[in-house]
Parts: sequence; structure tokens; C-alpha cells
Amino acid sequence: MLLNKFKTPVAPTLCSESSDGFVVRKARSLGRSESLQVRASASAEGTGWLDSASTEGTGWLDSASTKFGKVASFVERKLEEVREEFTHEVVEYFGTAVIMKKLQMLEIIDRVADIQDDTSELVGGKRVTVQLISTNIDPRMKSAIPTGCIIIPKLESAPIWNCTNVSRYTAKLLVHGTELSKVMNILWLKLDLQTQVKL
Amino acid sequence: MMSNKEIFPGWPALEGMAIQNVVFQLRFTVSKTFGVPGAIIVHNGHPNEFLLISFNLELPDRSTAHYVTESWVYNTEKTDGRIFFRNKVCTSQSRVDFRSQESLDPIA
Repeated sequence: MLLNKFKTPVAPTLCSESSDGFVVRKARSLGRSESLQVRASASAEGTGWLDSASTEGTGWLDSASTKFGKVASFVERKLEEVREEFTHEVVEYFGTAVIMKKLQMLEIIDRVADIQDDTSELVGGKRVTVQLISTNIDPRMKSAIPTGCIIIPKLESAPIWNCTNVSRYTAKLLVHGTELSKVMNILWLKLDLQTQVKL
Repeated sequence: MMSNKEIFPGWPALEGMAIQNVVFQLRFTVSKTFGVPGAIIVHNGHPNEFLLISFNLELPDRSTAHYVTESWVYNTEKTDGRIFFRNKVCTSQSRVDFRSQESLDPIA
């Protein structure tokens, strides 16, 4: 922006003009002058700030007060040109976001956790371990379903409960489905929730 | 100032079974006077939450701006979104400047 020359209570007393812009000098008190920051350059090299010291003696105007308005309007016009120029210049930022989506496996984990809580209540508040077992990992589970297994025929359907014969405090969750089995090969998800629920 | 919104591409197709980190490349176009973004705002229109593990921004000078994330982003339909700030070190000189500014402009 065009400095703070319009906000200062002291009127500028001197202005200097250069090829790139203007320098405004104000006087705070007698015998003491203070240079203001001046928005100067609008050249192809970019914008910059000049101070009065760097342009000392290079064309100070005799009566800056009378020409201040012209100077200001000229600088403002140049500022507008620069502003328009910048609005057309854009820059691109490339961002990389790494996320972990709550995938279906997490939803299964939540479901298993719910099952574990319910199972714990069914077995009298004893310690219950819920374990996910893939049929691909343990082929014996395909034909022989041990007592106490909780069967989910399909992932999309609601769990079918068969907890009446639970004799052990380990409830096994048998999940059918090839995709999940592949995942199980990797994760071998085993939940040991160890919930203690008293009767 | 705020930039345009960028949507995570291919989000609905991410229905795999396994837990995995998913990397998204996003491109933001802003005015040259925008400067280095100090924060990002993340909206989640999905009912389920997701974990924003990290977010980095490649700057024009080839440096990288890091933003402090590692947080679950829940559905933000009823909020203004989650905001994550840039992890930028505040130098001692900057603190001095801020303190000087505070001393000049005391809170009434």
C-alpha cells in the first residue's frame, strides 16, 4: 500500500521523484525531518521500497504541498496498475494429503466390538475373547464349526447369533468371504478385548 | 483470504477392505499475493470419519510447508470444518516484534 502518509498527522513537507516512484519526507518538529516509507517501484523488476536517503538530492520538489495531490494520484494510479497486474498472476501450490479412511475393516472391528459386549453379557459377564477367523486361514473351520462360534454368513447381513452353546469364554467369529479372507491373511485380526462384566 | 476448494479425487471408489494410507495429490491455484497458507480447512461430508495423517504443501521455492494434522476428521456438515495450522517455527525476533506490537497496542 501507499505507506501511511495519509494517516500521519503531520503533513508531508517534501517529496522527491525518481524514475521508479516517489519519496515523501515529513517534518515532525523543527530542525528534524523524518522520511516515510515510500512505495516506489512499479518496474518490471518488481516492487520495492525506497527511502529518502537513497534518493537524496535527486530532484526534490520545491513545494511538495502543492503537488502532493498530483503525486498521490499518480502513485495510486500506479498502484492500481500493479494491483491489476498481480490479480492476473496466480501461483499453484501442490498439496499432498495422506489419510486413512474408515474402511470396511474398521467397521467390522466396531461390529465385533459390539458382538463382544453382547456376548459378554450372554455368558454371564465373564471374560470374553472375540476372534476373527478366516476360512482361508483355517480350512477346518469350513466343515467343523466348534461350539460357541458366532457365524456371520455375509458381511452385509446382520449377525446370526448362536450363543446358546457357548461353553468356553472364547467366542470365535467366522467370516465368509474371499476378500475378507485375503485381508485376514495379512492382518490375522485378533481381538482380545478382555471385558470384565460382573453378574 | 481463502483459496478455492479442492475435493479429494476418487473418494467414493475407496471401498477397499484393508486399512491403508491413501495419498491424495491436490492442486490449489491462488493469487500471487496470497502468500504461504498459514492453515488449511478440511471439510468432511461423509458420515464416517477419516484420519488425516499428514498434509504438506510444496512451495514455489521447492521447500515444503508442513501442517500439523494426525487427527480424525468427523462429519463437518454442522460445523465450519476442521482447521489445521502450519507448523512454522516462530523465531525469537518474531516474538520480539509481536511483543513490541502488543506493547504498542495494549488490550483495553
